Amino acid sequence: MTADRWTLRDLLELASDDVVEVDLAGRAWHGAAAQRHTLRRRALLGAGGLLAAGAFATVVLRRGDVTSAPGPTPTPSLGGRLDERSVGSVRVSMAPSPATEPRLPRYPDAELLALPELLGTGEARPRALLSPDGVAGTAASVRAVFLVHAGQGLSHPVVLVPRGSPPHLLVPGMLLEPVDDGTGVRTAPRLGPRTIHDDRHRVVVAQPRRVLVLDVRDASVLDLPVPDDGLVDAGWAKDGRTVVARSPERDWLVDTQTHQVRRPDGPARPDYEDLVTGPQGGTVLRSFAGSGTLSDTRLVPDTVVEPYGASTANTESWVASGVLLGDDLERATGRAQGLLAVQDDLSLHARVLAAPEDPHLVRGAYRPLAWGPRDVLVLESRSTSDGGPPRGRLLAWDVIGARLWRVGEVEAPDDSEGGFTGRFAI
Amino acid sequence: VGASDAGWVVDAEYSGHAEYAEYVGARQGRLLRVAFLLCGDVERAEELLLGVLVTLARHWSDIRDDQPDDHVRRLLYRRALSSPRRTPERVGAPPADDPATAEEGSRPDRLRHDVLRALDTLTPRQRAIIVLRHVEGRTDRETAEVLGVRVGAVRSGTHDAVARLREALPDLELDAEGAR
Repeated sequence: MTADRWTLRDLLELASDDVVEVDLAGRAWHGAAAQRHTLRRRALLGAGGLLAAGAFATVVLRRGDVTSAPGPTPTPSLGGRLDERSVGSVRVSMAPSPATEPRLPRYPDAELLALPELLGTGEARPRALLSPDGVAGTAASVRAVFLVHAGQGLSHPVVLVPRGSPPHLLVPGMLLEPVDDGTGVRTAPRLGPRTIHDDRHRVVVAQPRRVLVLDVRDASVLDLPVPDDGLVDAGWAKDGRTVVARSPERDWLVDTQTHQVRRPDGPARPDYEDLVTGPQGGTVLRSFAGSGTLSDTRLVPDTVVEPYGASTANTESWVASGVLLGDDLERATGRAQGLLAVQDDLSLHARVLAAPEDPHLVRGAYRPLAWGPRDVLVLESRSTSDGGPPRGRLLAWDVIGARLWRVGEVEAPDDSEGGFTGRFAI
Repeated sequence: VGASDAGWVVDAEYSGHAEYAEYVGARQGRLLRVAFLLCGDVERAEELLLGVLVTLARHWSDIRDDQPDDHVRRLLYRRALSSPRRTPERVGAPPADDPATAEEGSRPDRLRHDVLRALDTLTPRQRAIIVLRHVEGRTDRETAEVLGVRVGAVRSGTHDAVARLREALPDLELDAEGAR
């Protein structure tokens, strides 16, 4: 090695040679013990809650007017604690019927997450408009985005900014075309768990041959062309600058800073992980880099399901997706659909929330929306009543503690102009 | 569950502590340097490695006889790649501008600063490839297995990363042949 000739190894060793060793072994061991004790305490609290809430819940359930037909495996809802079954290494929580959902206990962190009991587009008519100046300061935090009909198949976003006045704002500068849903039907664009940027200021929507990026701070709309007529959804990758746009045929990576668009070598997704059916029929957990490109795949043991829709992951390495249950799970539970949550740890831990066989639940009834604190998944459960169109209800599922809470109702869809399309994201 | 049962549970949990501490103690210095090279920031490196070691501790009884080095390496790199990317604060003049250190002893500090800035120009995956290949001495195939990518992606990633580093360090003659 001469004065100016360096091997890469020597340079990298030099770059890190002043990193001071710290003792992490003790902290890590105690951290692991604390996690174990927390989980055990939560499980015990759940069991205690089960006992304490039993009498109350029994009264409520007896007094209630349960109108739906019970599923083949009735599930009493006692303080939100669900019946559980083990199928191989998979723990299955048995969800209650849609008629019972309104009597689940209220999710204790709902207010913390600024999730109202009625999640919708607001009552004011005409709707307040997002000012051309945008929403100033800390008020510019988007809790949810909805699409409302604008006539002739078009739609407008309505953003919910809880600290704004008023909180519901229609975005007049963003008129959205319908997109092909993959079956030839043109509908309002899909919104998903990565529609809203982690900064809660920006929203991305897929359109034919482009993606649109709204920034509520200045009401600007960035129009980024993508050479694909069939784009159906778009979401923010975890690097905060890449948008992953998808059509049924291919995926695209859109750099929102340079406006460069490219096709990745393999599949791309906006979240860290997703769940798909593998080539051999098993369920595969795929990991993605911050820029949306595929980095790893792992087979989830004992879990033959058919995932549908967008998955959503959290920083504790949990990922969840709506699923149709495979034969083994269906035979063991008497149920055909639900949610699958998998923790990508040293080994993969799978949990299923099995939806009841209930005539009021639609196929693909459960949709994961976002993760709350402490491994709680916020989901939408869609069901019909009195022959009306499907309506959503927000629930929160504690994937470890096997508890289910009620978060609130979702506004009913309305086909009239200005009405809610049923498309929303939180 | 009786008291003796509860005691057994606690004892079982802690039974591997000494072995775990010995394992981690022998490796934590090296692992922290690798974590630092992956993310470019000491605090983040500690946070990243601590998370990996907590996971290792939770599963220690299951994997202590199952090549834990492979598990740790895989977790460390995967988490480095999937954690939110924050650009480390490496702004301002290099240390050599400080008159107190401007003499001969300052050269390694300046060089260290320049190398870290050069690493910041790489993508997270390129960074991981360079560290696996040139610091850990892994082959292309081993690197591909750790990162869950194709061998071709490792080769092209190495090529692009070295080109970027040469561009970012124009005053150095960089020998990138050392890796297997």
